[in-house]
Amino acid sequence: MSANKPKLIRGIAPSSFAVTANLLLQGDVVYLTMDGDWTGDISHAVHFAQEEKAQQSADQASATCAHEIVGAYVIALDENGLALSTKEQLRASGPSNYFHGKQQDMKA
Amino acid sequence: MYHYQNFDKAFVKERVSEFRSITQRRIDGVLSEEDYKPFRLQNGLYLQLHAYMLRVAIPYGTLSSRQMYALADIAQKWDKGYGHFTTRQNIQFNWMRLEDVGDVLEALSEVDMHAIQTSGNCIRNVTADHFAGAAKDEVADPRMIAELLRQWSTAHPEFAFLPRKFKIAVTGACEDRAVIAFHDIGIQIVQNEAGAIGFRIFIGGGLGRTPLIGQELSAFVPQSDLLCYLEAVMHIYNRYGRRDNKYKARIKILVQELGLAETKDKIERYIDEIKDTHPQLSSELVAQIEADFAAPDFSQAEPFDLSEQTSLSSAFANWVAQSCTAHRDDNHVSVTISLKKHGATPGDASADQMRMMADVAQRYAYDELRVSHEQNIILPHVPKADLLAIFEALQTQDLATANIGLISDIIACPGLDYCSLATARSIPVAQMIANHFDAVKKEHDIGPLKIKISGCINACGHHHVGHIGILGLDRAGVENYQITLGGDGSQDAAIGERTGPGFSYDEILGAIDKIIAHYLANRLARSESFLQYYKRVGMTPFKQALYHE
Repeated sequence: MSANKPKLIRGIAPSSFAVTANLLLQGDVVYLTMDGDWTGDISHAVHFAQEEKAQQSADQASATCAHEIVGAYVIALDENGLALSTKEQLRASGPSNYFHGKQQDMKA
Repeated sequence: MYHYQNFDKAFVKERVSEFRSITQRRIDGVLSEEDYKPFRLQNGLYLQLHAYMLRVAIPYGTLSSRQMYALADIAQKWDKGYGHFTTRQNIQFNWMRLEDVGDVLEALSEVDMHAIQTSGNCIRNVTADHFAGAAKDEVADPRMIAELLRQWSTAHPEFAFLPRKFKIAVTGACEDRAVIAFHDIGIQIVQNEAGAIGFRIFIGGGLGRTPLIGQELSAFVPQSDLLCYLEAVMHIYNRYGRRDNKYKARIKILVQELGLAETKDKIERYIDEIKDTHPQLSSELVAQIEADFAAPDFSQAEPFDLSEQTSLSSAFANWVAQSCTAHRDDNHVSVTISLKKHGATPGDASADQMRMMADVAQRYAYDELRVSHEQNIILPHVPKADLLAIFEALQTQDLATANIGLISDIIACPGLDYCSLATARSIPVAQMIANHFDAVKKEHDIGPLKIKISGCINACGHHHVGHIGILGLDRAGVENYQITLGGDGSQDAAIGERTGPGFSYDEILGAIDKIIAHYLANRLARSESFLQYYKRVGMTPFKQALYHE
């Protein structure tokens, strides 16, 4: 078995990767952007072709942005740049029990 | 109910001040997250999927109207307008901002509340029968002992860093509504042949990844010896409990590994060491706490015949039948307010709903409310003559759903919609089930049935003790739900048995529907409950219905 074989999520191999965290003060879900800022919109996240590169950025963000964010880590994306796992889909969109949270904030 | 003394007030204020100071150091960058996290957790502040979550302690689930109003104000001012009542009789606010939490804790302290020990490896909020002081089958009010344990366990220096979290529940009744068999320590107040009050102690129960039914450690501990006895249990757990593996660190694993006899021997030998020097529970302290829990003057309520009112409104009659429980005084009942309107999130209450419940309690119900571990709100003492007015008031805030104890009265943990530990959603599953059986108008025909849903193996939704339990897991990024049948959290404690392979999110409602259809088609009579039917026929016909039809 190849050590580099990508882990399938929902039966799909990740197309790319992004870095996510929560804002220290507000707790909001955010994603690392191309210019090193943080955005609440996953469609504005910077994509990494290789998981290792994404992990390096997550580690760097944890070290340099500790006053701004908490717990940076890497997530897998599908070919449309959307989160692959159910957990990350819910973090990106807000809770599914009723319309509130991030989905409401983004609509506003 | 218990009112803070000057000591309590000063202690809580000091903790608020400490929280502000240390949190500011985190915000200023002086403290790392690694250093700050244990501190915020000790103050009930978690970072969940979407935001910070603050878990507020509600000792043994008891609230005054004033406290409920304060929770409503917090929900409105600092959250998204609602709070979530939990299976530990607490409340969680899901949308906190770190910079606001100091103000929230300050607001809580103004009404004698806090969030201390709602997280971490310490003794958590002591829970009790939600009908305490009102139940007809009660030997003694368990709140007095629960309050004593709260005072004993709060900031107890020896038990601040236990191997793992520790949960205690107390009941004073024969019918166990506090799930004591599934706690680290379960306490049942009993009376011996001489008429003396004492305590039957269970140890090593629990849910989670290793569900175990608690075993009887002692049939009768005299009241004066209780704290010495419990201190010895905690000491032995602290000394011998495993710290190498957090999944094996609960006291239930210690009892399993040592065996009940050796555990008991260690505890009793330690009691021998400390009993001469350990302060006995003084009758003055007991009397002082008992005075705080003196029953209201029930004599003001007149006898009242509800038949005229119930004959005029089937909705009211239905609500009375489903929501009222017999009270120790014949002119009163206990009312369970459903936080499970069909399609709503189990346990959620909006600020307006909280205010309505506080209004009703203040006006009609001796100013007292309780949170049940089943995520509903209780008015423990209600004069029968006021039931119609209460029903009409609750209706205005969607709080009069007549489904207590029925299939839509579901316990559900926050699950993957909020919780960072969860592996699958639980709330939407509860919503689907409740909406479906409401739409087909079957829930009253189905009768008493407890569905409990957990979004991960930690079992905050108590799925192991659901008549139907649902456990949400992650299978390579896909939600998958296992079903268990026959669980029972009552005095007839039982752990549910797994039906077989799990179901996808899209399949789970259909699976529950098959289980219910099988039960309805095969029960002996309407009077045979789901659980009775399961005990009679066992798992095989349900497997057949689920997997082979």
